[in-house]
Amino acid sequence: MKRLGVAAPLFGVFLLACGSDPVNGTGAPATSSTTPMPSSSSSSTAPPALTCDEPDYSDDSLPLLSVGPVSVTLHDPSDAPIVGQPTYVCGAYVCGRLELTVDDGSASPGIDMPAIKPALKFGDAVKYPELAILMDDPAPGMKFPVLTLPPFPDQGVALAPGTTSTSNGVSLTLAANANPPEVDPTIYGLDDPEPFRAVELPPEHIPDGLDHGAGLERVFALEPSGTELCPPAALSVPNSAGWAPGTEVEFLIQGLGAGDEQLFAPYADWQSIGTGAVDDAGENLVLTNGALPIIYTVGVRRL
Amino acid sequence: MRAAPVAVAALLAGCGTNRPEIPAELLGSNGDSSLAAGCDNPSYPGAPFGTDPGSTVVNTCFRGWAAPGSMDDTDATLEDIGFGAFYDPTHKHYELLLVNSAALWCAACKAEHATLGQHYADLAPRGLALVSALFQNNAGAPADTDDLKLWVDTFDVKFPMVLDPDYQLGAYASAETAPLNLLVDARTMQIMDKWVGDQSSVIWPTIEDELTKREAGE
Repeated sequence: MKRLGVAAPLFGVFLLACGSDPVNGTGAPATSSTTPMPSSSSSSTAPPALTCDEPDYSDDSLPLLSVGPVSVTLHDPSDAPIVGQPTYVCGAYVCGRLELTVDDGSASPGIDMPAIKPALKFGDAVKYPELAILMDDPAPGMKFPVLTLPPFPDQGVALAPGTTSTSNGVSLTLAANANPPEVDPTIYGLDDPEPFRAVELPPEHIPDGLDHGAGLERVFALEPSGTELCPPAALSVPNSAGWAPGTEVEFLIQGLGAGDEQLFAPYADWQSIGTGAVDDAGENLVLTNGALPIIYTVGVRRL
Repeated sequence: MRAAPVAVAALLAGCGTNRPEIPAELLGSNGDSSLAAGCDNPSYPGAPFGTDPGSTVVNTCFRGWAAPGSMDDTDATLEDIGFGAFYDPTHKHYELLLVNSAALWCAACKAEHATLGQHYADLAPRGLALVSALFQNNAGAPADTDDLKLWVDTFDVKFPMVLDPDYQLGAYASAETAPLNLLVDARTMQIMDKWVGDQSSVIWPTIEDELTKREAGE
């Protein structure tokens, strides 16, 4: 279902207030700043929810590919095995069995029927990022090299309209009139609102094939994964590469929606959400021509 | 965990009575072999049973909520729900039964359930029955009542939704591949079609065509 588009012109103003967060390591405290909002009227009725475009990239005409079982091993950046994380092979319209990583970080997920766009998916999107590697030329028994996943920081920060939320140097700014973010309860439950957390994948450990040829140079995992932001949010990420101020970059997101719900990006593949540049201080890559419509993993490449 | 499909296979091979003798392990996740009315249907078609189109589905029993949201969805309100509840040889209430599987970790299942309720609302008045079975949580563990509650709340489920912690529906598809959709003729309980994966673009036209044929008396 397509919805009406809504312009979001206020992001530049918000970004001015949040461009100096240092790049922090795992576990660094997250911060949130509140944009002053006009005093509310005496009316107690909530404003109507905004509606935003939800471009759908589903395509069930793509070829079916056979995969079978695969082998995967997950390590953290210290090279320690990651235990108990889910792995599975899912196509865009069907999923194979879930396998949790065992003591040595290994797992053997698979799918025993042909699938459209089969991808190895790994990570729970809670403690660790959830990523997907498309398999364009799969073969039974495929063995992936050790995949490195950094954990999300323990502390998150609330997402709320009119605020800038920063985690590990990644900042999201929601417009004052934004809809309150609604996280996916099937991942994060119904009780407590899942906070915003972010972590950069170590560039030397970005898994082969993750970018599916997009030429990504930096990858930042964000959660709560799948949370739509309406209107789309302003985004900046730390300039961990040390690119010169003014360097132009493009921002992309990896879609994890499946079936006929491949909103904002095709399943397991990358979709541009806009362009930007390194700010004058050289500290952040700022998305200036576009905005983040949904919380997914963000990739950056220089133009 | 695979005991249930094995038991189903044994059942399929050995039944000879007029109605299925369902093993206790298939009678619900609580192991209670005292069948409630929701599962025991003496008029249910007899063996042989099978798992492929053209064969009759065994009257499998689950625990779940027949009308989620109509009362508190808790352990206490779980009830026995079997395929037998949808057997309708006179097609007074049901023409077709769609049996669906889902798991919390399964993105394709979530995508399917985003529209499943609307399809059901559109087609239930024409004789479509729908029952969906949640079999695993996000960690791949057998689904429990909390998981079922999470699912029905998230997708605002209004059709029968049950637990399948032993993945009894695995008898009809490859191991833990999801989602499964099984189209059953409610007049005979014979399997008409079987789809693995979210094949909405095929499933719903098929069902609508079949209902239209029946409405036309074909």
